[in-house]
Amino acid sequence: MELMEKLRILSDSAKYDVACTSSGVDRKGNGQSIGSCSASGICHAFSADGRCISLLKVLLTNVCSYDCGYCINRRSNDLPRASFTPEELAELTIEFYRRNYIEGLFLSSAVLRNADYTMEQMICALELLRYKHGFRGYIHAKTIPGASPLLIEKMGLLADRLSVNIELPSEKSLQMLAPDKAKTAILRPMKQIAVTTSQNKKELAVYRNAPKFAPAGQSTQMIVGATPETDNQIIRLTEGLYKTYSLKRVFYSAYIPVSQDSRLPSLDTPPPLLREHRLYQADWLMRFYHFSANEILDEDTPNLSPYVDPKCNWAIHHLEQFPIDVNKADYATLLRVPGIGPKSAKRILMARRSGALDLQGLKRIGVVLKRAQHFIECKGFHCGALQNRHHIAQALLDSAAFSVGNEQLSMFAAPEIGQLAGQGMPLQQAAKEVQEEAVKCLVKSM
Amino acid sequence: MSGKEHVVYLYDGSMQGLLCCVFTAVAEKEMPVDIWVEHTASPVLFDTKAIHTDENKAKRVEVSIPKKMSPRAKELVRNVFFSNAEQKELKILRFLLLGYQVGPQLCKMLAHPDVAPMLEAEKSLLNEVHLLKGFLRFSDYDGVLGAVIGPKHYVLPLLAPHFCSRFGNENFMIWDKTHKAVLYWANKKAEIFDMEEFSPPQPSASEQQYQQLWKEFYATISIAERENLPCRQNHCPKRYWQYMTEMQQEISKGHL
Repeated sequence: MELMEKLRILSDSAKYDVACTSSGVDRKGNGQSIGSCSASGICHAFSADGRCISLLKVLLTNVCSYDCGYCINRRSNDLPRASFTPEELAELTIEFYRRNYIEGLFLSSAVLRNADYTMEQMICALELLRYKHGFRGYIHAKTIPGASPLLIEKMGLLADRLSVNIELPSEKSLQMLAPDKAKTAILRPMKQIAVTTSQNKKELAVYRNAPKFAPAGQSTQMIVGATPETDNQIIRLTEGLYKTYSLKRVFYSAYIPVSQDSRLPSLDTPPPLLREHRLYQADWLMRFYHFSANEILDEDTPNLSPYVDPKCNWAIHHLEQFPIDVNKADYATLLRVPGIGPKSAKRILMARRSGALDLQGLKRIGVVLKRAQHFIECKGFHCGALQNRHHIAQALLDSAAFSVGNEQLSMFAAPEIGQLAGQGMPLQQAAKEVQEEAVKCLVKSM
Repeated sequence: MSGKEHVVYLYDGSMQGLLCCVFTAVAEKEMPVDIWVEHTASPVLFDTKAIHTDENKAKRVEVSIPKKMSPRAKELVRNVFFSNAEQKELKILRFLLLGYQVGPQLCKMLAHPDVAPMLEAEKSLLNEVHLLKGFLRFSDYDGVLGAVIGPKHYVLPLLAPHFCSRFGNENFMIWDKTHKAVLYWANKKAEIFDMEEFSPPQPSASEQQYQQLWKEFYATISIAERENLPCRQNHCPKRYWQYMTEMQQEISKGHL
């Protein structure tokens, strides 16, 4: 088979994997061989769906012995199949890298014969890259559920990041849709990676030249919208994963129907992109804003609001904690203000040391006041926050959720708009009515 | 500031020349209304004053910045000088005059009207540097890698450490079409010099094959159900497309 065709088949099969990040490790070039890594990660291109392309994201093979209902590569799916040889893959990676197309390789695979055999093939490709070509760029490798601990360790010494996909947000869903993947087969390697990474850190502290095990940590991903879990369940699971396994990232993937299956949403179901977006926002609150899952959702409100981002939503329900004085508040308190993120908060802390900040000053250091102004006070400015609730509610609404084109519903529009439009209401009107209803609802909860 | 009003300084466009403008402004207690590069200046209503570039004066100013302010202030001045910010010379002058007054805390005064515009200009430059680390495309010409870029800012000095470290084992050149300059890395030595024109040779068969493979990958990796062209354009502005291998097909599709 031509290399071109293999590449098409094996990238097509890999495209539903979300992670394409190349962050988390700094490694300079050594002058002798090719490659380096930059801790912030580098995006090399953006595909037509707006996602970053940082790594050559391919499967080693899409020949699979498993039959997971949500997966395009499942055994029972009639699909062209292909496999790279380790040599082909290593050479392709190097030639793409030399042309600055990519930051490195994201290697995953379907399960060829069994987990260990597949892992050995992947390791072979990575060894060629690292040892034969001396490649110092980024490698993200996916471990195969059920692989032996020895192989996982071997892979971790070659890769910068490892990931084990949790696939679905509950054991029940996993049993239903992925009968070949046991929960333990997913969590055991996750735990092994967490433990080995922490041991490795200690070894590196004692002995600088100790081999590094997955220096950029591990990540996972789960599919959202294929099964009935609530956002509350999902973010609690996420919080647990961050705490228990020290994951660097949890990725969410809006389910795109890939087969007609009575256990799954029908083929015409649009991917829940707005929901996925809100989950990422909640995830950021937990990772960078010192929020706990408890503060974001509870049993009574099991799902994130489509109309406002979760931080605004929290602020609206805690108006008693505002306004805060930007010239006095500490870092954690500043982070609670809608519109102020970690960068702005740090700038405020530094800037106010040489004089109290006024609105002009805040603007000059890059604080966006559209939302923040309703929650802060500063020199010469006291927000009239609680006076015009209607006005605030409008400022806080996420306009993306209500943006409709001339005839087409935006993919990020709130689902309610689509429902009204489905009943025959013109799109613009539907968007307007849902927006008015959302404002009323917000005002009521203030 | 007393002294003559409404005077425009003319300098030779070099960093040293600009430092001499700073020297003159301080020595003469004078605040020019603007600072222009000599040969680009057209006759104006203002008086002009040609500032002669004197290495000693430039050195004195250069040394004074980390000493009286901070090493960070020196870096910031250098970066803003590389940027294409409007009136960058005047911004730098104001910033340094403030620095001579307030000293080491200068770069921490983020909200000051003479500091904030410097940071903004630097941010715009560093942003482009970061994007180009990803968006730049090499072609292999018989073992030498060659790339063309068309940046707004003068980015080559800031791109050099990244690419020289990453491709230490290769020989490469990056031609900046906007500023007519080239970064040349060969035999583990980096040089930047002026270069008016560069026409890339015909790509070899194997080079064409890798370009094709990359285009194929680019087209395949996108999920059709999630297509979002405005989002793509936000992340990858159109002015970079003409230099990117995989975007040629988008340009011909009429997205540009």
